[in-house]
Amino acid sequence: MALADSLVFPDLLISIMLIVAIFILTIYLTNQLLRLSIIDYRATMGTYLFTECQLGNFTGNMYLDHVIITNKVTMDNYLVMCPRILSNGSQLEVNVYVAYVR
Amino acid sequence: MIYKSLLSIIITLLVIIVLTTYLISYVNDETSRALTLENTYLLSINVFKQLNNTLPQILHNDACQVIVNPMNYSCNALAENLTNTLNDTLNTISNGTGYAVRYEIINYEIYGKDNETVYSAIIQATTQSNNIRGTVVVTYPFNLCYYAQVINGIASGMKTNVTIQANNITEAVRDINRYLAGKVNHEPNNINITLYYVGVFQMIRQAHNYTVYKGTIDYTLYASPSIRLCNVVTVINGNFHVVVLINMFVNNTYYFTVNGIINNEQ
Repeated sequence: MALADSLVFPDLLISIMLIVAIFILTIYLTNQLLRLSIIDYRATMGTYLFTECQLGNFTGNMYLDHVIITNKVTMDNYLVMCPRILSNGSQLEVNVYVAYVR
Repeated sequence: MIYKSLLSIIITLLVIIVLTTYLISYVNDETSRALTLENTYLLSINVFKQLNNTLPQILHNDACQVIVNPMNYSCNALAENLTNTLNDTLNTISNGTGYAVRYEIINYEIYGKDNETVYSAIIQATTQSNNIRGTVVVTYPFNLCYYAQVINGIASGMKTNVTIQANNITEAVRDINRYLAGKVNHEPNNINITLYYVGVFQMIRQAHNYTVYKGTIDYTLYASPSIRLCNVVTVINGNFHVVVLINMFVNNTYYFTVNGIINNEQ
Protein backbone atom coordinates (compact mmCIF):
# COMPACT_ATOMS: atom_id res chain seq x y z
CA MET A 1 0.00 0.00 0.00
CA ALA A 2 2.81 2.35 0.87
CA LEU A 3 4.43 1.51 -2.44
CA ALA A 4 1.22 2.29 -4.28
CA ASP A 5 0.95 5.67 -2.50
CA SER A 6 4.49 6.61 -3.30
CA LEU A 7 4.20 5.70 -6.97
CA VAL A 8 0.68 6.49 -8.11
CA PHE A 9 -0.36 9.44 -6.07
CA PRO A 10 2.30 12.05 -6.96
CA ASP A 11 2.18 10.84 -10.55
CA LEU A 12 -1.56 11.35 -10.70
CA LEU A 13 -1.29 14.77 -9.14
CA ILE A 14 1.31 15.91 -11.66
CA SER A 15 -0.68 14.39 -14.49
CA ILE A 16 -3.82 16.27 -13.46
CA MET A 17 -1.88 19.53 -13.21
CA LEU A 18 -0.34 18.96 -16.62
CA ILE A 19 -3.71 18.10 -18.16
CA VAL A 20 -5.18 21.29 -16.74
CA ALA A 21 -2.26 23.23 -18.20
CA ILE A 22 -2.81 21.56 -21.58
CA PHE A 23 -6.50 22.41 -21.33
CA ILE A 24 -5.80 26.08 -20.64
CA LEU A 25 -3.21 26.27 -23.40
CA THR A 26 -5.63 24.63 -25.83
CA ILE A 27 -8.32 27.15 -25.01
CA TYR A 28 -5.84 29.97 -25.44
CA LEU A 29 -4.71 28.52 -28.77
CA THR A 30 -8.30 28.20 -29.97
CA ASN A 31 -8.88 31.77 -28.99
CA GLN A 32 -5.83 32.89 -30.95
CA LEU A 33 -6.91 30.91 -33.98
CA LEU A 34 -10.32 32.50 -33.76
CA ARG A 35 -8.75 35.94 -33.66
CA LEU A 36 -6.71 35.02 -36.71
CA SER A 37 -9.79 33.97 -38.60
CA ILE A 38 -11.60 37.17 -37.60
CA ILE A 39 -8.70 39.22 -38.94
CA ASP A 40 -8.84 37.15 -42.08
CA TYR A 41 -12.58 37.76 -42.31
CA ARG A 42 -12.01 41.50 -42.01
CA ALA A 43 -9.45 41.35 -44.79
CA THR A 44 -11.76 39.32 -47.03
CA MET A 45 -14.73 41.61 -46.38
CA GLY A 46 -12.54 44.64 -47.00
CA THR A 47 -11.45 43.30 -50.36
CA TYR A 48 -14.99 42.34 -51.32
CA LEU A 49 -16.39 45.75 -50.36
CA PHE A 50 -13.46 47.48 -52.09
CA THR A 51 -14.35 45.71 -55.33
CA GLU A 52 -18.06 46.41 -54.94
CA CYS A 53 -17.34 50.09 -54.31
CA GLN A 54 -15.28 50.32 -57.48
CA LEU A 55 -18.00 48.63 -59.49
CA GLY A 56 -20.48 51.16 -58.11
CA ASN A 57 -22.63 48.53 -56.37
CA PHE A 58 -21.93 49.83 -52.89
CA THR A 59 -25.11 51.19 -51.31
CA GLY A 60 -26.56 51.55 -47.86
CA ASN A 61 -27.95 48.04 -47.98
CA MET A 62 -25.53 45.27 -48.92
CA TYR A 63 -27.42 42.33 -47.31
CA LEU A 64 -24.35 41.25 -45.39
CA ASP A 65 -25.01 39.75 -41.96
CA HIS A 66 -21.82 40.84 -40.26
CA VAL A 67 -21.28 44.21 -41.88
CA ILE A 68 -22.89 47.46 -40.74
CA ILE A 69 -22.96 50.35 -43.17
CA THR A 70 -23.34 53.92 -41.92
CA ASN A 71 -23.28 57.33 -43.54
CA LYS A 72 -20.46 58.79 -41.52
CA VAL A 73 -17.32 57.73 -39.72
CA THR A 74 -18.30 57.10 -36.10
CA MET A 75 -15.55 54.75 -34.89
CA ASP A 76 -11.97 54.19 -35.96
CA ASN A 77 -12.18 50.51 -36.84
CA TYR A 78 -13.93 50.97 -40.16
CA LEU A 79 -13.27 48.61 -43.01
CA VAL A 80 -13.93 50.61 -46.13
CA MET A 81 -15.08 54.16 -46.85
CA CYS A 82 -16.87 54.41 -50.15
CA PRO A 83 -17.81 57.84 -51.53
CA ARG A 84 -20.49 57.69 -54.20
CA ILE A 85 -21.04 60.68 -56.46
CA LEU A 86 -24.19 60.90 -58.56
CA SER A 87 -25.42 63.65 -60.81
CA ASN A 88 -29.04 64.75 -60.84
CA GLY A 89 -28.54 67.00 -63.85
CA SER A 90 -27.80 70.32 -62.21
CA GLN A 91 -26.04 69.22 -59.05
CA LEU A 92 -23.81 66.50 -57.69
CA GLU A 93 -25.13 64.32 -54.90
CA VAL A 94 -22.58 62.78 -52.62
CA ASN A 95 -22.92 59.89 -50.17
CA VAL A 96 -20.13 58.46 -48.08
CA TYR A 97 -20.78 54.87 -47.03
CA VAL A 98 -18.67 53.51 -44.19
CA ALA A 99 -18.58 49.76 -43.52
CA TYR A 100 -17.92 48.27 -40.09
CA VAL A 101 -17.64 44.65 -39.03
CA ARG A 102 -20.19 43.81 -36.39
CA MET B 1 6.16 8.21 -16.30
CA ILE B 2 2.93 9.34 -17.98
CA TYR B 3 3.62 13.04 -17.42
CA LYS B 4 6.70 12.91 -19.63
CA SER B 5 4.49 12.47 -22.68
CA LEU B 6 2.19 15.20 -21.34
CA LEU B 7 5.16 17.53 -21.11
CA SER B 8 5.93 17.05 -24.78
CA ILE B 9 2.31 17.97 -25.60
CA ILE B 10 2.68 21.16 -23.58
CA ILE B 11 5.88 22.06 -25.36
CA THR B 12 4.20 21.47 -28.72
CA LEU B 13 1.26 23.64 -27.66
CA LEU B 14 3.59 26.41 -26.52
CA VAL B 15 5.42 26.34 -29.84
CA ILE B 16 2.12 26.52 -31.77
CA ILE B 17 0.94 29.40 -29.59
CA VAL B 18 4.14 31.34 -30.25
CA LEU B 19 3.77 30.73 -33.96
CA THR B 20 0.10 31.76 -33.92
CA THR B 21 0.86 34.92 -31.98
CA TYR B 22 3.50 35.85 -34.52
CA LEU B 23 1.10 35.06 -37.35
CA ILE B 24 -1.62 37.20 -35.77
CA SER B 25 0.60 40.24 -35.47
CA TYR B 26 1.86 39.73 -39.03
CA VAL B 27 -1.57 39.20 -40.57
CA ASN B 28 -3.03 42.04 -38.53
CA ASP B 29 -0.38 44.48 -39.78
CA GLU B 30 -0.80 43.36 -43.36
CA THR B 31 -4.58 43.57 -43.16
CA SER B 32 -4.59 47.08 -41.79
CA ARG B 33 -2.03 48.10 -44.38
CA ALA B 34 -4.17 46.61 -47.13
CA LEU B 35 -7.28 48.35 -45.79
CA THR B 36 -5.39 51.66 -45.63
CA LEU B 37 -4.30 51.22 -49.23
CA GLU B 38 -7.82 50.31 -50.34
CA ASN B 39 -9.32 53.29 -48.57
CA THR B 40 -6.69 55.63 -49.95
CA TYR B 41 -7.49 54.39 -53.44
CA LEU B 42 -11.26 54.74 -52.93
CA LEU B 43 -10.90 58.25 -51.54
CA SER B 44 -8.54 59.49 -54.22
CA ILE B 45 -8.42 57.82 -57.61
CA ASN B 46 -11.92 56.38 -57.38
CA VAL B 47 -13.29 59.82 -56.46
CA PHE B 48 -11.47 61.40 -59.41
CA LYS B 49 -12.93 58.73 -61.69
CA GLN B 50 -16.45 59.34 -60.43
CA LEU B 51 -16.02 63.10 -60.87
CA ASN B 52 -14.83 62.56 -64.44
CA ASN B 53 -18.04 60.61 -65.06
CA THR B 54 -20.53 62.91 -63.36
CA LEU B 55 -19.17 66.40 -64.04
CA PRO B 56 -20.03 66.36 -67.79
CA GLN B 57 -23.72 66.43 -66.87
CA ILE B 58 -23.19 69.53 -64.75
CA LEU B 59 -21.22 71.10 -67.59
CA HIS B 60 -24.04 70.33 -70.05
CA ASN B 61 -26.50 71.95 -67.70
CA ASP B 62 -24.37 75.04 -67.12
CA ALA B 63 -23.54 75.35 -70.81
CA CYS B 64 -27.21 76.07 -71.52
CA GLN B 65 -26.97 79.01 -69.15
CA VAL B 66 -24.09 80.38 -71.20
CA ILE B 67 -26.21 80.00 -74.34
CA VAL B 68 -29.21 81.73 -72.71
CA ASN B 69 -27.19 84.60 -71.36
CA PRO B 70 -23.71 84.89 -72.84
CA MET B 71 -23.55 88.56 -71.79
CA ASN B 72 -23.56 87.82 -68.05
CA TYR B 73 -22.71 84.14 -67.79
CA SER B 74 -19.44 83.77 -69.59
CA CYS B 75 -16.92 80.99 -69.89
CA ASN B 76 -15.14 82.10 -66.70
CA ALA B 77 -18.37 82.14 -64.72
CA LEU B 78 -18.92 78.60 -65.98
CA ALA B 79 -15.47 77.55 -64.75
CA GLU B 80 -16.09 79.15 -61.36
CA ASN B 81 -19.42 77.40 -61.03
CA LEU B 82 -17.90 74.02 -61.89
CA THR B 83 -15.06 74.60 -59.44
CA ASN B 84 -17.53 75.48 -56.69
CA THR B 85 -19.47 72.29 -57.42
CA LEU B 86 -16.23 70.33 -57.18
CA ASN B 87 -15.28 72.05 -53.94
CA ASP B 88 -18.68 71.34 -52.34
CA THR B 89 -18.55 67.70 -53.38
CA LEU B 90 -15.03 67.18 -52.11
CA ASN B 91 -15.79 68.92 -48.81
CA THR B 92 -18.83 66.70 -48.30
CA ILE B 93 -16.66 63.60 -48.80
CA SER B 94 -13.96 64.96 -46.51
CA ASN B 95 -16.56 65.66 -43.83
CA GLY B 96 -18.23 62.25 -44.24
CA THR B 97 -14.93 60.44 -43.73
CA GLY B 98 -14.23 62.31 -40.51
CA TYR B 99 -11.44 64.24 -42.31
CA ALA B 100 -9.49 61.06 -42.99
CA VAL B 101 -8.93 62.70 -46.34
CA ARG B 102 -8.64 66.35 -47.33
CA TYR B 103 -8.89 67.72 -50.83
CA GLU B 104 -7.48 70.78 -52.44
CA ILE B 105 -8.13 72.10 -55.92
CA ILE B 106 -4.66 73.14 -56.95
CA ASN B 107 -5.49 74.63 -60.30
CA TYR B 108 -8.34 74.88 -62.76
CA GLU B 109 -8.80 76.29 -66.21
CA ILE B 110 -11.31 76.53 -69.01
CA TYR B 111 -10.58 77.10 -72.64
CA GLY B 112 -12.17 76.76 -76.02
CA LYS B 113 -10.37 74.58 -78.50
CA ASP B 114 -11.65 74.38 -82.08
CA ASN B 115 -15.18 73.10 -81.64
CA GLU B 116 -14.86 72.18 -77.98
CA THR B 117 -14.90 73.66 -74.53
CA VAL B 118 -12.46 72.01 -72.14
CA TYR B 119 -12.57 72.37 -68.37
CA SER B 120 -9.84 70.79 -66.31
CA ALA B 121 -9.00 70.84 -62.62
CA ILE B 122 -6.07 69.37 -60.72
CA ILE B 123 -7.09 67.98 -57.34
CA GLN B 124 -4.84 66.86 -54.54
CA ALA B 125 -6.09 64.30 -52.04
CA THR B 126 -4.19 64.15 -48.76
CA THR B 127 -4.56 61.23 -46.39
CA GLN B 128 -2.45 60.39 -43.34
CA SER B 129 0.02 58.45 -45.44
CA ASN B 130 -0.31 59.72 -48.99
CA ASN B 131 -0.58 62.70 -51.30
CA ILE B 132 -2.30 61.83 -54.54
CA ARG B 133 -2.94 64.17 -57.42
CA GLY B 134 -5.56 63.65 -60.04
CA THR B 135 -7.00 65.55 -62.95
CA VAL B 136 -10.64 66.02 -63.79
CA VAL B 137 -11.21 66.89 -67.43
CA VAL B 138 -14.61 67.46 -68.96
CA THR B 139 -15.36 68.59 -72.47
CA TYR B 140 -18.37 70.08 -74.18
CA PRO B 141 -18.85 69.62 -77.93
CA PHE B 142 -19.16 73.32 -78.66
CA ASN B 143 -16.82 76.25 -78.14
CA LEU B 144 -18.74 78.23 -75.52
CA CYS B 145 -15.90 80.66 -74.85
CA TYR B 146 -15.81 81.67 -78.49
CA TYR B 147 -19.62 81.84 -78.67
CA ALA B 148 -19.83 84.19 -75.67
CA GLN B 149 -17.07 86.31 -77.18
CA VAL B 150 -18.77 86.51 -80.60
CA ILE B 151 -22.19 87.38 -79.16
CA ASN B 152 -20.70 89.96 -76.83
CA GLY B 153 -18.78 91.42 -79.75
CA ILE B 154 -21.90 91.72 -81.91
CA ALA B 155 -24.00 93.16 -79.09
CA SER B 156 -21.43 95.75 -78.09
CA GLY B 157 -20.82 96.58 -81.77
CA MET B 158 -24.52 97.35 -82.14
CA LYS B 159 -24.66 99.87 -79.32
CA THR B 160 -22.75 102.59 -81.12
CA ASN B 161 -24.63 105.22 -83.02
CA VAL B 162 -23.77 105.67 -86.67
CA THR B 163 -23.94 108.28 -89.34
CA ILE B 164 -24.62 107.22 -92.90
CA GLN B 165 -23.97 109.38 -95.86
CA ALA B 166 -25.70 108.69 -99.17
CA ASN B 167 -26.79 110.31 -102.39
CA ASN B 168 -30.44 109.41 -102.04
CA ILE B 169 -32.83 107.57 -99.73
CA THR B 170 -32.72 104.28 -101.64
CA GLU B 171 -28.98 104.26 -101.32
CA ALA B 172 -29.25 105.14 -97.63
CA VAL B 173 -31.62 102.23 -96.98
CA ARG B 174 -29.29 99.91 -98.84
CA ASP B 175 -26.32 101.17 -96.80
CA ILE B 176 -28.16 100.62 -93.50
CA ASN B 177 -29.02 97.07 -94.55
CA ARG B 178 -25.42 96.50 -95.56
CA TYR B 179 -24.15 97.95 -92.32
CA LEU B 180 -26.32 95.56 -90.29
CA ALA B 181 -25.49 92.60 -92.52
CA GLY B 182 -21.81 93.35 -92.00
CA LYS B 183 -22.31 93.07 -88.27
CA VAL B 184 -23.48 89.47 -88.40
CA ASN B 185 -22.49 87.98 -91.73
CA HIS B 186 -18.79 87.42 -91.26
CA GLU B 187 -19.34 85.09 -88.31
CA PRO B 188 -18.46 81.41 -88.72
CA ASN B 189 -21.11 78.93 -89.68
CA ASN B 190 -21.21 76.92 -86.44
CA ILE B 191 -23.21 79.73 -84.87
CA ASN B 192 -26.63 80.62 -86.22
CA ILE B 193 -27.45 84.29 -85.97
CA THR B 194 -30.67 85.91 -87.07
CA LEU B 195 -31.21 89.64 -86.78
CA TYR B 196 -34.64 91.26 -87.02
CA TYR B 197 -34.62 95.01 -87.23
CA VAL B 198 -36.88 97.92 -87.90
CA GLY B 199 -36.18 101.63 -87.95
CA VAL B 200 -38.17 104.78 -88.59
CA PHE B 201 -36.43 107.90 -89.87
CA GLN B 202 -37.63 111.42 -89.62
CA MET B 203 -36.33 114.45 -91.47
CA ILE B 204 -34.73 116.86 -89.04
CA ARG B 205 -33.00 119.32 -91.32
CA GLN B 206 -33.39 120.38 -94.92
CA ALA B 207 -31.00 122.59 -96.84
CA HIS B 208 -30.50 123.34 -100.51
CA ASN B 209 -27.68 120.80 -100.93
CA TYR B 210 -28.26 118.28 -98.13
CA THR B 211 -31.02 116.71 -96.04
CA VAL B 212 -30.63 115.11 -92.59
CA TYR B 213 -32.76 112.31 -91.18
CA LYS B 214 -32.62 110.86 -87.74
CA GLY B 215 -33.96 107.55 -86.57
CA THR B 216 -33.62 104.61 -84.22
CA ILE B 217 -33.01 101.05 -85.29
CA ASP B 218 -34.67 98.56 -82.91
CA TYR B 219 -33.34 95.09 -83.27
CA THR B 220 -33.71 91.61 -81.87
CA LEU B 221 -30.83 89.23 -82.23
CA TYR B 222 -31.39 85.48 -82.04
CA ALA B 223 -28.34 83.29 -81.78
CA SER B 224 -27.72 79.64 -81.09
CA PRO B 225 -25.13 76.96 -81.77
CA SER B 226 -25.68 75.21 -85.11
CA ILE B 227 -25.75 71.82 -83.42
CA ARG B 228 -28.75 71.32 -81.15
CA LEU B 229 -27.31 70.91 -77.65
CA CYS B 230 -30.05 72.39 -75.52
CA ASN B 231 -33.37 73.87 -76.46
CA VAL B 232 -32.48 77.47 -75.76
CA VAL B 233 -31.41 80.44 -77.84
CA THR B 234 -29.74 83.72 -77.05
CA VAL B 235 -32.13 86.65 -77.43
CA ILE B 236 -30.75 90.16 -77.31
CA ASN B 237 -32.88 93.25 -77.79
CA GLY B 238 -31.43 96.66 -78.36
CA ASN B 239 -31.45 99.84 -80.35
CA PHE B 240 -29.11 102.48 -81.65
CA HIS B 241 -29.47 105.84 -83.28
CA VAL B 242 -28.68 106.48 -86.91
CA VAL B 243 -28.21 109.81 -88.59
CA VAL B 244 -28.66 109.77 -92.36
CA LEU B 245 -27.12 112.50 -94.37
CA ILE B 246 -28.40 112.78 -97.94
CA ASN B 247 -26.16 114.85 -100.23
CA MET B 248 -29.06 116.61 -101.93
CA PHE B 249 -32.25 118.43 -101.33
CA VAL B 250 -35.10 115.94 -100.72
CA ASN B 251 -38.38 117.54 -101.33
CA ASN B 252 -41.31 115.53 -100.04
CA THR B 253 -40.03 112.54 -98.05
CA TYR B 254 -40.38 113.42 -94.40
CA TYR B 255 -40.34 109.86 -93.10
CA PHE B 256 -38.98 106.58 -94.29
CA THR B 257 -38.55 103.18 -92.68
CA VAL B 258 -36.10 100.30 -92.93
CA ASN B 259 -36.70 96.76 -91.79
CA GLY B 260 -35.39 93.35 -92.52
CA ILE B 261 -34.14 90.00 -91.44
CA ILE B 262 -30.50 89.04 -91.73
CA ASN B 263 -29.44 85.48 -91.36
CA ASN B 264 -25.85 84.34 -91.33
CA GLU B 265 -26.82 80.85 -92.50
CA GLN B 266 -26.19 80.36 -96.15
